[in-house]
Amino acid sequence: MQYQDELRVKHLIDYYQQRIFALAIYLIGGNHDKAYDIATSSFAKMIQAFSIFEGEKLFLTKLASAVVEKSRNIKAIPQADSFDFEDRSPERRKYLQIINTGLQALPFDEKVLLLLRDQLHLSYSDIANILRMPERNVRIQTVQVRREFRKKIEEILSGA
Amino acid sequence: MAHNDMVMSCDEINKLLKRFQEDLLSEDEYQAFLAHIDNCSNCKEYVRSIGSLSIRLWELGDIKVPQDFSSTIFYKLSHPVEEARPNKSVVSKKWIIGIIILIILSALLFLVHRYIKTGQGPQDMGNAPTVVAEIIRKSEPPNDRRAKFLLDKLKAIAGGLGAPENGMVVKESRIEKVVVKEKTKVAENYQIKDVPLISEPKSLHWHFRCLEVVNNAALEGEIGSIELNIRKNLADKQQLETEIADLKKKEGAGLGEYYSKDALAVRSDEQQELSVELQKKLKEASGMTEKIKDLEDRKRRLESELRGSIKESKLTEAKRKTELLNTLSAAGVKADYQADNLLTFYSNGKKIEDLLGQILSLSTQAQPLNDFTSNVVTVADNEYNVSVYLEQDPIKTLHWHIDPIIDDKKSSLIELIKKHSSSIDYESERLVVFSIQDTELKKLRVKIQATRVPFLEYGYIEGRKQGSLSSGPIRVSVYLLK
Repeated sequence: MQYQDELRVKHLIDYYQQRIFALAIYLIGGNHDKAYDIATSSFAKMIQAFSIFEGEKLFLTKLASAVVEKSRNIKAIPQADSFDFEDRSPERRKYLQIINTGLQALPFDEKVLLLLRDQLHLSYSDIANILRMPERNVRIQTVQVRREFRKKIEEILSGA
Repeated sequence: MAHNDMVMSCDEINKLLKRFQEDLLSEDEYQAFLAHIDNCSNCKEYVRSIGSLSIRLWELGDIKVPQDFSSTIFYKLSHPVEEARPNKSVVSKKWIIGIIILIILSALLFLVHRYIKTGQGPQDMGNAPTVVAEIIRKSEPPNDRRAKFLLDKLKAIAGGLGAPENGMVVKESRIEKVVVKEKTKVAENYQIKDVPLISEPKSLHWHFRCLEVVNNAALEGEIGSIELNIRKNLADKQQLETEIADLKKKEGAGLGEYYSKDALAVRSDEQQELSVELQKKLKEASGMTEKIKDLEDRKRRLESELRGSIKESKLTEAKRKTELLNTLSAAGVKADYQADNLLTFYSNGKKIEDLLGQILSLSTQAQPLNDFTSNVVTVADNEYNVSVYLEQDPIKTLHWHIDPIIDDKKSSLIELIKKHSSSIDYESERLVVFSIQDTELKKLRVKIQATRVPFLEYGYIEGRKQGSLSSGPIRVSVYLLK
């Protein structure tokens, strides 16, 4: 590694690791080992390809893009591990598991939209760059996907 | 990380919460909102307590990361693995048609070329003046295909035209032109002597590390961990203060509502327990305050030490740069181009080997010199173009390494650079130095990265504000790896 400041790299990893790991896990349906592999490979690739002295915003966007592409290219969906959320209250845990079930029921691209916006909090223009579509389309589709997602949650809650 | 400098207060968070839930904030407000709750644990907790689907999705991201995550990344950085490119079995029709047309055109051109070539033959000599072309070669490796190809071409012409009398010296770069030019001259003869070619110098590229980093990195690391410790202690102290406030409230609830003797006795015991608990917590809070104060003092001392170390590093940096320039000068090497952190010079293989040895001894640090062209075998008499990038901190220029992978991509990359830059300050076979405006730099960077060539950036621009009137063009040096 040519970078003079490993500390800065470590800071980037510490700052983004949870978000990127979570993105990978939810995109591929819950297998922790595969998500770990995708997340770490994406980090290594982006740190190699990018100067860490560039804007961190761009780094996060490109990193998220790498995770999305790697997750999309998986040939076989691996077995999901359980989501414990063990440090939450039982009621919260139950609700989060329902949210996760609803999320996994969505098609891949819709999951990407929701996670990039509501979990990673990327801007619409960054999401448009990652998904290679116009920003306007991203905004419209996000509204539609949220509606779809809400319907799925309501179905699960009503026991359908 | 807001796009602008918008900063939100806790009140504003409260006011904008509903719009945040419904994703109706502008991007600037959205990023400012997120920036605030990132730093304000109270607001974060408050926002998280609102039960909307978007916020639950956000909460879904709070999962535990394995402890070896960071070390795995560092391992992968030092052991890169070639990724298999995904099989793109779906190729668009346009591409297929384009490729077929290209093949047909290439075949046609080849046939036309062959026809023209065989159509021409050596002209009758008569009394035409004669020319000898001497090809001077300097210890080229025996399998230099280019040299052999050109030599064969000239021999083929000579074979058809007979023995010449006068001589002419040509450089390698001119041989193709000479061959074509001389072919059209009527009645001229050539003699080829098997002598060395003057070859274009090969390119070497070095990074010379001027700055001292080891000590600073350790200090910065320690300061970072103290900061984390302070933050943790502050959070614990806040929690403790909340508990103290609760205990005080309970203690102050009074005995008035209890009427029976037994109830009064029980209540009195409870009050005593509360008192003891409260005293304990107050003592703990006081201890924590002391601890935080100590940590802050230590942090201040380390920061002062770091400032001193940085100042010393700057002096060492400047000294090391001067030492390098003096070493080059003492070896009789003159810089061909020098600006900011880049200098280039020409020299022969033997001198370069000697220089390398001298430069490596300039510093006690491991690897003060990083040779990005260590695969180039230097031959004593061969000429080399050496570019040296001086790693200093901070600098006003950027330095990129781009690997065009194939030579065709190299010319399109150069064209892209020329399209976006304000001016080209220096250009050689492997190195381009240009000036470029902020906005164009970002566009150029994105376009280069979109070509998916390996790309590394060194250096950074300190203290440049976007859109500032005083910011001039940035100088960027690009080394094209082979």
